[in-house]
Amino acid sequence: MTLQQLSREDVRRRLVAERLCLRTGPFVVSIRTPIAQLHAALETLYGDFPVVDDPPFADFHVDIEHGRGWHRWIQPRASFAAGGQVLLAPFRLELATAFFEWGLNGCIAQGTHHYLLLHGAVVERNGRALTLLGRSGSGKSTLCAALTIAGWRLLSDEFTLIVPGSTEVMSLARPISLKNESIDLVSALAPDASFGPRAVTMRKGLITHLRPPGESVARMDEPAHLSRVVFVQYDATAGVALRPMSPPEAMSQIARQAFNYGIRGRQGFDHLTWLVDQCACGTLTYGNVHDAVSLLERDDISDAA
Amino acid sequence: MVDLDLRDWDVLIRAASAASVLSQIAIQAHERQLVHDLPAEVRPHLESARILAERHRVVVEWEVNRIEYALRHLDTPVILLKGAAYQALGLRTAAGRLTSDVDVLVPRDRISDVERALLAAGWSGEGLDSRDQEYFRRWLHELPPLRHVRRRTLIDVHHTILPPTDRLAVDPGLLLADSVPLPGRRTRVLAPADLFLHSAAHLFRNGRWAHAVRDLVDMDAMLALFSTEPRFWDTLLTRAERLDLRIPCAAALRTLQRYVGTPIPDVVAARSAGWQPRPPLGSLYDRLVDHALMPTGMDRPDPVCERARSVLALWPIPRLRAMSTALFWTKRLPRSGTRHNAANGEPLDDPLGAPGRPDDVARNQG
Repeated sequence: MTLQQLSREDVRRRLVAERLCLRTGPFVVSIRTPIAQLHAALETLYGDFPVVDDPPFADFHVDIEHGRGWHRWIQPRASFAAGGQVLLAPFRLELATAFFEWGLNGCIAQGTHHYLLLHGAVVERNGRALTLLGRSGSGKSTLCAALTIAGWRLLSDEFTLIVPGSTEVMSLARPISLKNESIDLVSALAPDASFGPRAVTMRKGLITHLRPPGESVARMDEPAHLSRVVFVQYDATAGVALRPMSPPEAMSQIARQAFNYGIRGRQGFDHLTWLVDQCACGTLTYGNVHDAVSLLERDDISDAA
Repeated sequence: MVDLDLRDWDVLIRAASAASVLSQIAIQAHERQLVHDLPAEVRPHLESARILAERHRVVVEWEVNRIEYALRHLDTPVILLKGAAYQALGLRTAAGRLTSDVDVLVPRDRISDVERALLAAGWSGEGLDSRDQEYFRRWLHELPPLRHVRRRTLIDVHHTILPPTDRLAVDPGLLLADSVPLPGRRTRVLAPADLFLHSAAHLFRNGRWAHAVRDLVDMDAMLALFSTEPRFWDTLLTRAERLDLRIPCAAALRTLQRYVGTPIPDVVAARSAGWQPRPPLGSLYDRLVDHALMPTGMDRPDPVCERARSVLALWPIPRLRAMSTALFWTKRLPRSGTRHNAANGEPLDDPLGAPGRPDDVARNQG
């Protein structure tokens, strides 16, 4: 049963009075919130996700609550708690959806050291996964959205979860977060795509989330194997270029983009040194997202190297 | 552990994580080879917690090594406190105890030399404004925390174990005089009784009650280890009197007996019972402890428990002299520790906890 198969009243009742439990890849997330914006946003963004009925065990228990105190009369606020501990607070109520996504990211980043966890998007085609790494604002989510719209399977926009000692990548299939100009760009690429609410934040500007394709969500239990690692850099003035990267250079760059490379210690080191030999690694500079997509579609970095 | 069903684990993992003891449970399960008998849903959580704990152990080990090296030219005793000391002593609960910083105790008249040596070796007092600095130096028993610029690790340098605002006056000279060397190391640890009394004072005087369960388990492990020495109990009570730590000692023994079931000889319990607060206050205190020790981590924060914890955090009512300065009030009350408090409701760039930040982790390799 998926979320969109539940009636709106049922979704609301679960979110307010009980708990709504959704599964994203290996994780069951149990959610409770009285916040109406989030009810609608979860239906929009997570419509295709499987609902788990009253599971005996959930991996993450999140509560997004209205803020208390006198502030609420001036500017309503909310808080995000995981396992009864406040993780993010307080934030403006209209940012509830963004904070839900960030809060859940925080839960995953802190609690999954049994995977090698990279900060980057992953998409897949023909069983071969491509991970897009880069700093915030490097254009990796935009490219991830464009590849997904072009028919690649979305595994994750935020996390590359790699099973230790292997190239196997887990799929979460969660929504893609988009900022500022990339929102219009992606809407133009996919006029019938669904988005979560838009909100303006001081640091990141305008943000919203793109509903993941139903097919990606339906196939989230299907494993994929990492075969390409691409460091993305958007540059409005540049053409598109894909440069191969040597394994040692890739190794040191990937380590910087890993949430738990250091925490995994020797195992993390052994895994990553092996992994860079299994994958073609490179840097991609692009000014136009269409060019980047077509380059990635036809070009295998290993061929270029 | 193997008798628990999935619903029990669902609660246990959250409660243990909120009480900062999940890693200890994970290590125990691993060492007793119980992991494979546990439900598949539970194993990843324990595995993740165990990996994190193992990393903490390595980081603390290396950090102590670096501190010893940085202070090698100073002819002064450096005493490891809390987590780093438990690890150096091989205390049972050290396995899986997550330590966010290394705490050391040095003689007060050498603290400036220690600070200078650490600053010269790459630690820095970044991120604190001058008010914070002044607050620490005036009203706390430690220097402002120093962070190593490359490894991002924290060290707290103490000159005594209770803040000067506390009505109890511990003579740190006694602690230093009785400290014991660690074989093959430059650093030292407190004597067994003092180690217990420090942990008791830490929780029952300026306690972080969110970690109370972890602290009580530490104290239980200490008593189990130290009480094999026949004169330990006598020494403990004598030291509690000499160090002016009768009140936290009595509170710790009573709480251990009530909640952990720690075996404490009747004579010891009877003698320390005389140090407890008198009836109306004593039963109020017990009630507060009852509430503060309620497990958290299930659903939303429990307001009664939170209130009890905040009352207990302020329990040793500070001395009037301290309360009469503005600085004390502006800094003492809401020090929102780990909460990401985005000032005007704005998100932080990266709302992930410190250990997970990619760049921090990368730097930790240095």
